[in-house]
Amino acid sequence: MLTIKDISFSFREKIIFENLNLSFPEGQVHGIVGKNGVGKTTFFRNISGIYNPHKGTIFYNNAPVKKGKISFLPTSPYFYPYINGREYIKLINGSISSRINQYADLLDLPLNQLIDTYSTGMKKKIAFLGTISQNRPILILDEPFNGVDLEGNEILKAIIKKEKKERILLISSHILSSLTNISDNIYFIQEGFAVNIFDQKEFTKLESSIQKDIEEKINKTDVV
Amino acid sequence: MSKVLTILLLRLKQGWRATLEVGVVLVLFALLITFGLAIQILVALQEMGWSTIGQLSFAGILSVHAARKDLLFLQSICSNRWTFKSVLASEYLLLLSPLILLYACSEQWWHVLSIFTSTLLFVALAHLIPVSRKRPIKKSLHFIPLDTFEIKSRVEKAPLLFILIYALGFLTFFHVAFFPISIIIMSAFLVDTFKYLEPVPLVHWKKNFVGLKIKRNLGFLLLIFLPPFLTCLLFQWAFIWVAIYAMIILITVTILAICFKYANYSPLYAELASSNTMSLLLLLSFLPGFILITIGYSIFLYFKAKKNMEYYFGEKRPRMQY
Repeated sequence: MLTIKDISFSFREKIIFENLNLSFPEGQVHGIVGKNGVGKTTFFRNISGIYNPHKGTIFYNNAPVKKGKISFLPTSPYFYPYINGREYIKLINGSISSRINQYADLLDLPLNQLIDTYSTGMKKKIAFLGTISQNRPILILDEPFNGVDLEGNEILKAIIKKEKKERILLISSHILSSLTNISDNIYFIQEGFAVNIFDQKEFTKLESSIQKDIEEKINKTDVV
Repeated sequence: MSKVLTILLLRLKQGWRATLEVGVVLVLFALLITFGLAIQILVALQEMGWSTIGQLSFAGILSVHAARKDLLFLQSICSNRWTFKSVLASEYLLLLSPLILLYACSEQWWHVLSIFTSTLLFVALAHLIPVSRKRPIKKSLHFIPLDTFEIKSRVEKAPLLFILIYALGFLTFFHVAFFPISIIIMSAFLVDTFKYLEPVPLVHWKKNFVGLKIKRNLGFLLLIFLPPFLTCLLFQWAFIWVAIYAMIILITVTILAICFKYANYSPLYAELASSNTMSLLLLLSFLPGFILITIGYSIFLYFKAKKNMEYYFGEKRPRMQY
């Protein structure tokens, strides 16, 4: 269980979240949805240790979480120049398991080709494989479907479903439907980091509530 | 330990692949030129005291560390702080290995020890430098005019690198070679800066577009590099021709980079493909006399650029066929 206890974080005067309390059980996929700029990436960076919360603690199984327990796929992953896909995975994990090789085949990734020559979607896929190859118990994926084609999206979802066993998976996405298919819970984040949690049964309720909000906003203006 | 070895081996592979891409001959040529310029500095370095060398190594590593973009990634792939620090230490020692070798060959063991100590001291303190805050500055640098937006955006993206290149020029009071070295690095920086192509709405077309572009950028660069140039004249009067030649390189490379950009400008692309011809011409400029070839090619490119830009934006441009 990953437990967020009373954490607060701000950029100078701008408070991103204050006294935030959340818990994420194991073996589940937790989808994080919210408008641009609401603080999803900052939240992920706090959990993964890139930022330190100004207050509060993050626990994994009742002990403060260590960086070595977390794999984090950032929105724009970093790649060294002049290395190929195989070397990238080996750099991250030390070796390539047969499981990762199979995933790479499924995703049509040319592992022996230099990453510099990969397309945006292929880069996202190789970074995803690098992240899951670490076999750490907490997996944080920030916008993993961005730039990935339709087929790749479905394969990524299937891999995520398979990888969730005995792991805690946190995923953010702009596209709600890509999360409703795989998530066990969806954390809908609004202004001021107000979090509403929806379980699978309530996803349609969430979708219609978001749709209603958008329609209301559009109807209020005569621009469109 | 295996992580350290993997990264070091990967670094060697990266170096080899980059060499193959640029061309082995070209790289050897570049190394020869660099060596020629650096040899005098190496002689001066050998005469320095071990404590100065320690401090210089520390400052050098600090500047490299501050410019690195891969630290978050590196941190994420290392399972703990010790692995991360071991990787950093081995990489920085690899970087300083030519200097270590130089002192080892001349049996200046205190110097070798001071390089090792300053590297390890830096690595021990490295966690105090926040890696996540190294982002491009968010404030616009108003002293760089908007007309020279290529240089402006490049400097705003990597301000520290620019300051380091610029500050290096002032070290000319210590040794004359620092000014031309600063100009050479700046020239490479300029070639990279002008490889990005602005989208059509940002091309504010005027008659003599390329000429005006050259005038504005040259004006700004000459003004910026005037203080180190004067420092060189003041402290190294005997080498006045070296300083003047360095300024000619700066002017030629700026013209070359701008003309190359607009000679190959296309609204369809955002970036120019790297060109071996450009790299070769850049290297040739550094050799006495050979700059005439670069100047000749720049004139040819100027007319090509003028024609190319008129094709896209001039009044007599051909109609697009769909």
